[in-house]
Amino acid sequence: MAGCLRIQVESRNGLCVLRVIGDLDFLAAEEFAERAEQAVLAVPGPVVMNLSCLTFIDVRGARALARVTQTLPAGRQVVICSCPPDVRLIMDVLGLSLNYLPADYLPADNWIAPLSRTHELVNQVQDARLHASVARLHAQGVLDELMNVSIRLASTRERTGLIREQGQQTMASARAARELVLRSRQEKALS
Amino acid sequence: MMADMWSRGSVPGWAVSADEAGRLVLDQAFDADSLHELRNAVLAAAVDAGMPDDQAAQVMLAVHELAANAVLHGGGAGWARMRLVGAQLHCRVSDIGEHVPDGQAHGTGAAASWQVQPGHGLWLVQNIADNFSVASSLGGSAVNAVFAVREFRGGVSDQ
Repeated sequence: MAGCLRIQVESRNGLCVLRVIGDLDFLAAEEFAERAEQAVLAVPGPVVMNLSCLTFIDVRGARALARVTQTLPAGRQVVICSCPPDVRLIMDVLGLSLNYLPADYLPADNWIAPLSRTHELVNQVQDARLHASVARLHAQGVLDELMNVSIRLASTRERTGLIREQGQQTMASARAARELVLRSRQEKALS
Repeated sequence: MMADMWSRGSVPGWAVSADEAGRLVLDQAFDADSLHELRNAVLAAAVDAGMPDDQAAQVMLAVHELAANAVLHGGGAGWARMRLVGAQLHCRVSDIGEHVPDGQAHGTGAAASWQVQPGHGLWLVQNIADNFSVASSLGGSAVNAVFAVREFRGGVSDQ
């Protein structure tokens, strides 16, 4: 049952360390996915998922675990550590490839070697995000300018229409006046 | 009460040839609440039958997936039996069957719930077992998965 599975999350050296403890089977899969996603959102940093206390996993559990690692917000790295061999076997048979930490770095508590590289990657991601938000700001400015131009164009078109209408009216009255003059001339000639 | 339902002959169409052969190492009912106990019992029985730990874990996974299928699609409960026949471990999981509405073709309801789809539980069992078969009838379905005990030393089974 769901009671057989626990999730622990803590911040360690700027990493979000998530421990999955107990049996992750089809009964616990959905609740696990929800709780893991919430837990990961609560603690910043690259995610280290520690599976050393994962005592059992079935097909639906494996799918839920893979889904959690794939649906993290952009920029959140995730790495799996201390994956028990039978858990790894199911993942491999099902063709679910996870980002496993090489065995050399185990256990995660002593995970120092890749940390600098992680910081570098995090910095790069933050830079890229900054660039993206600046670009978005520029794009917004261009969009606003375009909007202004289109409003002005619309009002110009409206005025042009009005002027044309007035011109047509003037022409019509001029034609009427000319006809009047012609008729009065004819009458004069007859008399 | 449950034991009566699964006693020999009560459900027609089940293969019973392997049912009585060999040594019974597990005979246990299960539902959603007792799957954890079932897994522990299966693991212990497989080790007891002489299996190495990693293969026993695979048998536990296979029986769990079959039981999960029975819980989800086979009426919510079932029965697991394991027999050691020679150097082979025969695992049989039976469910109590879904209610088949009147007018629906006989057996289609039960058979549909035991179809093998790539990447799903039954598919996994089919992949890790040496032999796999499904028998369905109106009273429910029974799945047989057979595992050849690796590094079988014989003596363990007869003690």
